[in-house]
Amino acid sequence: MPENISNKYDAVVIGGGIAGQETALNLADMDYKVLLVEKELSIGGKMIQLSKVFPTLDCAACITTPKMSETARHPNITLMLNTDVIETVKTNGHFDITLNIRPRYVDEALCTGCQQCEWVCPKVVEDSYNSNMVGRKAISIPFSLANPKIAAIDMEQCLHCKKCEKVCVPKAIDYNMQPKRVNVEATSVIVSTGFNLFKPKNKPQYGYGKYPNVIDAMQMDRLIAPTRPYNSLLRPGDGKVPDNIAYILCTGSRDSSIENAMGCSAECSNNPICSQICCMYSIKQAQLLMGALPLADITIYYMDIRAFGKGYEEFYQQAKSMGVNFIKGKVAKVTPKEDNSGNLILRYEDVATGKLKEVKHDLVVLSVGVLPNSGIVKTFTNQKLELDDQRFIKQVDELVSPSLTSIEGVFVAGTAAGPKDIPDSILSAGSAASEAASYIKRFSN
Amino acid sequence: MSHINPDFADDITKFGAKDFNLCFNCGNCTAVCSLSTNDATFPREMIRYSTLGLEDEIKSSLKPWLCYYCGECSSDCPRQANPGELMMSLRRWLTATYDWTGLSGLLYKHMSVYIGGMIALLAAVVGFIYYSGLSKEVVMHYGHLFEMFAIAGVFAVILLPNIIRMWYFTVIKPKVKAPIKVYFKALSELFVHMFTQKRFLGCEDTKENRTRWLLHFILVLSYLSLLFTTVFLDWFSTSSTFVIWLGYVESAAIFIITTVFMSMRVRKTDAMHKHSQPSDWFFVIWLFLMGITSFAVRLLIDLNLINTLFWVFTIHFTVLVQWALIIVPFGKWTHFLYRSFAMYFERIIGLNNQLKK
Amino acid sequence: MSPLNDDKDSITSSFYLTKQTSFRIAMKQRIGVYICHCGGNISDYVDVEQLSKLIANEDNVVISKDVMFACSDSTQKDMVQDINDQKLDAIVVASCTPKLHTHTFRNVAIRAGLNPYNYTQVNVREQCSWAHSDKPMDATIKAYGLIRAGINRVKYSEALENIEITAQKAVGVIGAGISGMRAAVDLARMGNHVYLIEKEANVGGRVAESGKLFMTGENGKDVIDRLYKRIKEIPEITVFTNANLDKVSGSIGDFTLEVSVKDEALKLNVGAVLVTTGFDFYQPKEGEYGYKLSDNVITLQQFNKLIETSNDKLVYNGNAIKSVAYIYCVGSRQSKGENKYCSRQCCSAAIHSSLNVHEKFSGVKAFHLYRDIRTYGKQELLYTESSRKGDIYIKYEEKEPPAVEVKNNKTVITVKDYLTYKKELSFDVDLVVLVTGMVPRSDSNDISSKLKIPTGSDRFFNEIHPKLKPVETVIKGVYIGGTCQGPKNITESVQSSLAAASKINTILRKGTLELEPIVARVNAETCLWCEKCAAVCEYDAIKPIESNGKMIAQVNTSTCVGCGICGPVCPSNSIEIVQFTDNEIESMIDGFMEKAEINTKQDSQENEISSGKQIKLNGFPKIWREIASALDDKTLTIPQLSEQLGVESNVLTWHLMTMNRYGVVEPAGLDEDEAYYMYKLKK
Repeated sequence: MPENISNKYDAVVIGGGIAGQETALNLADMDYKVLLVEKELSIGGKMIQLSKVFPTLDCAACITTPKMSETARHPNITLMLNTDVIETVKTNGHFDITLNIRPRYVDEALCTGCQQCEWVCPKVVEDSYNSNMVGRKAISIPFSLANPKIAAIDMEQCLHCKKCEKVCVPKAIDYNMQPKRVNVEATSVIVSTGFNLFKPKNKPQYGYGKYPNVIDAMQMDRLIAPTRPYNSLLRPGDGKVPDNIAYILCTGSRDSSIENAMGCSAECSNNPICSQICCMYSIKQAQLLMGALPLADITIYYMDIRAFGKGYEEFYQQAKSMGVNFIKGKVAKVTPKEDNSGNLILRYEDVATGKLKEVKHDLVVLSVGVLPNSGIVKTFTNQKLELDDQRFIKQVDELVSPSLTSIEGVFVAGTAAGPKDIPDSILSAGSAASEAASYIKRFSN
Repeated sequence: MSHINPDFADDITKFGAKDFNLCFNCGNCTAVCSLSTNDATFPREMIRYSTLGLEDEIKSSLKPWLCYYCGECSSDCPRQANPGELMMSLRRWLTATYDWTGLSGLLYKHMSVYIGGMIALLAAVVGFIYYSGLSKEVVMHYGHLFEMFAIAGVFAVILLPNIIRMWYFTVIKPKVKAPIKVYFKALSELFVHMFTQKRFLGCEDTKENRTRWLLHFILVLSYLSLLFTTVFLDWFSTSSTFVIWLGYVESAAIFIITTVFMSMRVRKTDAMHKHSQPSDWFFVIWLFLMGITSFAVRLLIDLNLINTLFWVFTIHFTVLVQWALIIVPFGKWTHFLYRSFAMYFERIIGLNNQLKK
Repeated sequence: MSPLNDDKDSITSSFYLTKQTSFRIAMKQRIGVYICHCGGNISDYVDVEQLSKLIANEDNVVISKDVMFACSDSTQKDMVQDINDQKLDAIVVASCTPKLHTHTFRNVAIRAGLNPYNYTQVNVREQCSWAHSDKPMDATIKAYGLIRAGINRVKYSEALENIEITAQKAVGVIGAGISGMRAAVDLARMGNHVYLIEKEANVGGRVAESGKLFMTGENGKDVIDRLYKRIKEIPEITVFTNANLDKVSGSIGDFTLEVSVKDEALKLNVGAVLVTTGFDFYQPKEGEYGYKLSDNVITLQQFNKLIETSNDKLVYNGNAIKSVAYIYCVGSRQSKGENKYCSRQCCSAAIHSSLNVHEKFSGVKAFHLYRDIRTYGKQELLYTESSRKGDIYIKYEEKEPPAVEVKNNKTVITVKDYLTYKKELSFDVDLVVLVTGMVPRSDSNDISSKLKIPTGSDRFFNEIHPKLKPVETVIKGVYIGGTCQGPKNITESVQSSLAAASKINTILRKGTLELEPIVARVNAETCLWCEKCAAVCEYDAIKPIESNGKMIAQVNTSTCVGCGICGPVCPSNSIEIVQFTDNEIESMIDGFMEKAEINTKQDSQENEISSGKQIKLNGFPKIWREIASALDDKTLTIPQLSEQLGVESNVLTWHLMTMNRYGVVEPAGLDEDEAYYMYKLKK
């Protein structure tokens, strides 16, 4: 982070996913000074993890990386990565925000992203960018398309062998880096903190975490992506090329029985609403799998197919005509086939015929739902940022001004306000930018 | 073509069904059910028939009796539509439908009638005991006679015709033409289920923990043998030490186990005990009272206190009359009977289908 | 035969001469070429490594590289460095469609101090690797040709400056429904004047016609009243009702909207136009589910009016309504019909109407005949609530739609219920409500022809790209918002029109804006003003002007879109499009046709990350060393390794794949039954 960053901004955008970037870019293009705060080591959010996106099947990277570059380079945007919001206080119509920049133990100004350190580092840790399906090193760049492409050390895992320090030519490694507090002042705040994916372990009936060939949809997106963790599209249980893949839709969505499950952890809660994206991303993955594994059978177990957006119904019909198998019926449980093959048995009622089925698949994908990620509300201390019944940021004038929140001057963009697909998140970001710009303009006049 | 009857939902609600219309037909309940098989998938089908009010389909179905309320369907239902409770309610509805007197339905639907009936019988018993001028010994003798005649009468006049009606609805009307030998071949099914509740062991929970099934099994055995002990071995008048002790053990088992079951209903530990209906409470409480009052009566006889504490016998007799004239013929007791016959008819239909092939 | 034709050769040569003297084009000498893998989108079919080596030998090419993602920030940085270090005077990027990344790489050029127009993008993805995925060899040859064409073109590229024009800080918003009204408010608040043009006598559009709205329960009319009150308080917004858009001329920054308000004709000068014309409801055909054959069949809109106007009892035509059947997807999701799309908001709208009925009147039974219930997001709660209220849902399939018949004054519906194994069900109802979808407005052709907005296969107005440019149209300065673009609910409509307001403000905020200089250019010496070019120009961009004592054509550079239609009609070859000159095009053809010699060997699969590094495993996890010694000189599959080492196969997969990633092992082909890869140590 540059030392001499200004501490006054027209807008502070919290969260650097697609909605945060879009809002920041819109405001910056209007010549407003924007600070983009991101808790991860790179901007990009969830979208940069994806393979391709529906319904156009553009590769996600082709859409996000230019946006990320543009955001990172824009003269009116300051990026603050690896940063947490500690407190936001509204005083005299503006916001005083306290931020904490966590140390990455690598000097951003010096690191060239050459990855020499990564090669020599002997400590292997889980690679969260690849949904933990593969390892990375304790010192590494966050992922190949990261922006900025700068290494960071996972200090909890570091062995302190100093191999990286020896090999780093520009001497960028600094084991003694300390967290840094920064105070900034902003006219407006945009909350674009996105969403969490449902943790599939909280639906123990499906055996996620117990059977290695039960994966969630984000893992499948990683497997399909060109920057995939494996040398090919393989299942994580034993590296087999799958040929009979099942999708279980509504895993953790439209479900008020989650709390009843044995082994449901304290954090798990019922989720009666629909996550809006799972049908479509599953159909997308099915289409991509038909291309990648032409001989594979793909079955999607669904309750209702919700292909509602522009071109979505057509996309769904196309998947059907490609041979993707759609079966109406909620899978009740997944059990392993008792022959050590790693294959799985899905038990469901085929609603069309009323028959009870037990069917074998060699890879099961759980189409996990969208949950709120609204911990940020706790940092608003002197005014309350309200949540709705589902714990998303409350839209106080949902129909006429969808970006307004319970605090004047705080706006919400993207999935922080509720489940949305990418086009809707981008539109919502545009709408938040419009509201914020109008607000800032009034304020500065 | 079937005609939809949207009013059926209101009707079945009176039998205890709750929120079943929340069902969005995902089929999770059927798939999670350990007892559902491809020959008989439930409960979703039954929920669907109930939503649409297809009474003929429900009336001819044995599926409600194949359900043992393991509770998985209800706890895993994504919309919390209580499929298990609906199946229970359908059993009550079927009981009312099989009952030619129509009293069963009246008692299920109207709490006041139920309580009124119970009070009337109480009055009758108390009146008989205290105003008939009969001696205590004669009263106790009549008590024994009542038991014998009531059982025979209830069975002949109510239960047997009702089972025949059930047979008509579920076997004859759907045009299952099974030869007589099939009826004999399937007979074992009837007794096995009546005495062991074998199917209950299929529940996922019961597989892991057999206590509930075992308690249930002991209770059924105790109840049937206590019936035998009091009616045929004349427990209250016998001098055989063996019979006396046998009666003690049986009646004790009944009131202990029913106490456990009552506490489960109070604590709502599992899905099947979450939505107790008055009829469930009456059943379990009266069974408990049966056990404890008969135990007490015999104890008082043995302690020679029965004459001074004759009111205990009055209570016992009241409970007995209420049990025999209301709960057995029209209440939950019949489930035990119908369930066993359902298993039997199901077997007949299955064997008949095999024959046809 | 015209004398001009006889003299064609000399004219052409003099044209070139003129151009080369007047624009001083020197052939580019130091060209950098970047060929993108697109993470496999291209490199899975096109041998980009080999092409990169071959291209390095082309004339004037100084650098030739293949890169994983040309658009990624690190590659962009490398390009900037290359341009500076190698003093490049032009660059070529062979990747995806120029629609996606022209701007990205022009900006790279700008950052490196190179003129952005000395850059050419070659599309080897959409036009090559994707199209020829079945023939990788031929795809490679074609890509070779395309890249050489690009190199030849960039050799002739001219350094150009953007055209700067004055922008009117005013916006024309066409259609004063909720989208248009809401965008008008923010556009004005951001400092623009807004002309809000409404065809009808009142503002508010469809929302003003609606009763209670789903999600908030507000009344449509109240929402509009509240918004209109706000508009009236903003002096920068001028509202025209009963107004008709007659003609649009001009271009971005400077449009003229000719509007007639009653008998008065107005000319409005605006910098940008936002189209928020909305939608029409699908009109059921006569006989469609008994529509118009029976009085008891009405649309959802009619039904909503009925709910609004009925008081204690729901009464229709003098009869009390005790049961209602809602038939969904009327006019939507027609796999064989005109409207293939889903209308998005109707499921929620119909369920919400049913809830309104329950709230206002008691004892009305509801039957919902649906195909899929699409109450996405929080709208699912409406569906749950309606089920709780006892509404009966019946799923039908498109091929077996429900039948509506009137028998003995009763409206009888028969339907095969998918949820009861297609059992045929019948029931009678007092009223049938057709849940109709959204269709493009009947006058949308008129608007699209005046503004030249393209429509999609669904006949709604089309954006450029749903994620990159969701509110922009191909016509610069013309934006779309709300339901004229496709079905949306109110929140979504407002969001899209506000997003458009945001984009409009980014271009108008300064009062000036820059346009690409890719426009038509007239050769003043040879032009004879025959008017042919002006006659074909759809944008009215060519006007005559006097020059050196004769009339010649002059191009309005802000109106001209560079479509090129004028070029071929010119008899004297005097008009051409910058960046698409004959020189450039002909050299491209030459480049493409040049003979290609491609090495047919296909074993150049090299792991990008490893690039031949040998890793010592001292201090690395024990299992890495075990795997390495088990593999030694062998090739083994994961199950074989797992058995040999006694390690669970998923744990082994995790480590082996990490080793693969860091170049310790590599795949050595699929085994016989093609289910498992074999792995070997990377030497």
